[in-house]
Formats: sequence, C-alpha cells, structure tokens
Amino acid sequence: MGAEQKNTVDQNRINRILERQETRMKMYLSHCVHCSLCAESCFLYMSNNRDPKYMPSYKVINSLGKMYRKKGKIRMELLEDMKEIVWKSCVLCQRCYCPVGVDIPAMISLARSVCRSQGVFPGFDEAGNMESWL
Amino acid sequence: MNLHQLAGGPFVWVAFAVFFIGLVVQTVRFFKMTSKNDAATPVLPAKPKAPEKIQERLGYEWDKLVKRYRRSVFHLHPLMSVATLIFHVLLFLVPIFLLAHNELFRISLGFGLPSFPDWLSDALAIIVLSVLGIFLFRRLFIKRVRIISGVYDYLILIITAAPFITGVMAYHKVFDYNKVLTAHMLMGELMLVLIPFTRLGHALFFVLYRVLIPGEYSFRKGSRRWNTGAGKVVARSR
Ligand code: HEM
Ligand code: SF4
Ligand code: SF4
Repeated sequence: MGAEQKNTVDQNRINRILERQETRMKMYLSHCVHCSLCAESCFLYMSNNRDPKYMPSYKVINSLGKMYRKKGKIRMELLEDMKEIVWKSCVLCQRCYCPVGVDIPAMISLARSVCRSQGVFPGFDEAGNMESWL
Repeated sequence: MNLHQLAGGPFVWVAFAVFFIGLVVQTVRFFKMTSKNDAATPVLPAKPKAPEKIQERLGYEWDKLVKRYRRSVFHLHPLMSVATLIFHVLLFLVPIFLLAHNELFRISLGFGLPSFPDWLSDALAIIVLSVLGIFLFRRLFIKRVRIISGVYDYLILIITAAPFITGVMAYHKVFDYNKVLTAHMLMGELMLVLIPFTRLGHALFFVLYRVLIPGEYSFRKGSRRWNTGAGKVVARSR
C-alpha cells in the first residue's frame, strides 16, 4: 500500500487510462475463449501447485476484465482486491502462450497503470511484509 | 410469408451479408488500430545448416519436429488439442460440403461445391457435437476451466451446437420436419451473424493477432504494431 493511500478513487482518471486502449483490450477480452490452455505457460502457475488463480486468463478476467465491466463505478475495495493479482501473481515476463493470440501481459500492465494511478501498489514498507513482495 | 419462408429466403441473404461485411469491418478496425511495423528486426544468429546427406537430413528434420512437438500445447494436452483441431476443421467443412446446402446454392446461384455423401456429413456432424460435449464437460467439471467460465461461455457453446443439433435432427426426421428445419435455418443464420462481433470472432482475430502482430508465438515476423494508445477507434479527447 502506498504511503499516502487515498480512500476515494478518481473515476475520471481511471476512465482516461482505461479508454487509452479500450478497443484493443475489449477485443482481447471478448476473443479469449476461456479455454485455460495458457495455464502451463505461466511459471507462476507451475510453481504454485497449479493453482488456477495463477492462470493467465484468470488473472486478466479478474483484474482488467472487471475494471471494464465496472467502469465508472470502480471502488477502492475492488482495486485493493486486485492488488495481489496485478502486482504479485504476474511479473509481466511475457512468456504466456495463447492459441488465439490474446496479449495477457499487455492487459495486466494496463490494470497496473490503473492501480498505480490510485495509489494501489506494493509498498516495501508494509509492516513485516517485505519478504512477501520479493 | 411465414417464418419458415423468411428463414429460408431473405434471412439467408441478410445473414450472409452481415457475416461478410462484418468480417471486413472488423478487419478494417484492426488495421486502423495498428500501423506498419517499421521497428528494426533484431539480427539473429544464422541457423546451423541442415545436413546435406539424405539420411542425416531425415534424422535432423525428425528431431526438429519432435522438439517442436515437445514445446507445443499438443504435447501438454494431447486430447484437448486433437479434439479442438478436429472440431475446428469440421466446423468449416461440414456446412460447406453438405449436399443439401450445395443443392440450395445450385438452385439459387446456379453453382455449388462438390459435397460429402450424406452418411459422412451425418457422422462428422455427430463428431462436432461430441467435441462440443467434451468442451461442456471441461467447463462443468474441470476446476481451472470452471473458474473462468460464465453464462456467456455456455451461451456460446449452445449457439454453436444449435445448427448442428437441429441439422442432425432434420436429417433423421426427428420431430416435425418443417419446424426443425425452420429452427435449423434460424440457428445457422444466428451463428453467421454473430461470428464477426462476438467471442466467435476469434476465428478472424486469431489470424490477425498471430500472423500480423510480431511476438514470441507469432507465425510470421509480423508486419503491424498496435498504435500507441490503441484506444477508441473514434478518438475521444478529454
Ligand atoms: C484456427 C484458429 C483457431 C484457434 C486457435 C481456435 C481456438 C479455440 C479454442 C482453444 C477453443 C476452446 C474450446 C473450449 O474450451 O471452449 C475454441 C473454441 C471455439 N472455436 Fe475456435 N479457434 C480457431 C478458429 C476458429 C474458427 C475459424 C472458428 C469458426 C467459426 C472457431 C469457432 C469456435 C467455436 C464455436 C468454439 C466453441 C466455443 C466455446 O467453447 O467457447 N474457432 N477455439
Ligand atoms: S488467454 Fe488464450 S489460452 Fe488463455 S483462456 Fe484465453 S483464449 Fe485460452
Ligand atoms: S506475463 Fe504474467 S501471466 Fe504471463 S507468463 Fe509471465 S507471469 Fe505468467
């Protein structure tokens, strides 16, 4: 959590970031066939006991996907819920394979921009939590 | 005109028009959001030369094939990969080479394609439906697929299955032939209309994404890149 965490979100700023890439991102979200074939290509999925929560498609559906669905009504709690997904469950290594060609890291990266704009990002000073973010 | 006549007449042409125009519109949108990729391509080290002797060459090519297979999703998920490959090929072939469809084309356009015998089309349609059954099973019972599945995924499965179910039913004269045939025509038309604009659009965009955009898994070097902020196609200023 950033040091000066705000409690309200700036919808306009979020909208501006989301709209920067809206057409492309919505195309990806719509063309992902929810097949799960990308799972094994993510090393974080493989090294976390194949926990489906580390699956590339799960991560975008539950971050950027939700942001577009709730556009204009995004609350701080929602961003806090996504914090772990966008900062910790994906390192943007760009190795994920999707048969359809959906660009997962591009989507996570945009979700990060939204979170960062609202002060939602890992703080290395989080009490006792330093390790967990490294 | 009653529904049967509408579905068998004007709707067919509307559906085909929306399908083809939709594909063109979506392709144009894609080209508007991307531009020619003029970034320098990195110079890669030259590949080792393939051996010249025919026997060594065979071994070399075989090794290459095995390595490629090991790196692919076919190695990881052989069943799903083969099932989805068969499904996608048949999804095209069955309707295009169906005798009854081509007869109708011959009547209305004066020409039609060669066709599979009816027994073969029937068997292939049942294979398509079986693979859709596998997809449904995965969605319902395999956790990692279930947690990313929603109402829309099931809807798309039903929309895809509908023309095949009704087609097989019509061929075997299950229930009232005319009613089933009307449903078959409507479902086929619905699918055509939806392909360019929905999840089914992956058929077109798969090609655009993986051939034209350069990337680790692209099939070619890729000639386009996303415009910076490939945002609204109609630019909005704020
Ligand atoms: C050749 C490139 C294509 C690839 C790599 C591809 C990939 C896939 C994959 C991985 C699935 C997942 C199945 C599932 O678990 O649900 C799928 C489903 C499907 N594909 Fe394709 N597809 C391609 C082209 C097409 C084409 C040309 C069509 C024709 C319209 C098509 C129509 C469908 C349909 C109807 C489904 C089932 C819908 C669903 O389960 O969500 N695909 N595709
Ligand atoms: S991102 Fe690609 S591989 Fe992963 S679920 Fe979506 S379509 Fe399938
Ligand atoms: S970019 Fe993210 S989702 Fe893709 S393989 Fe890397 S860590 Fe996994």
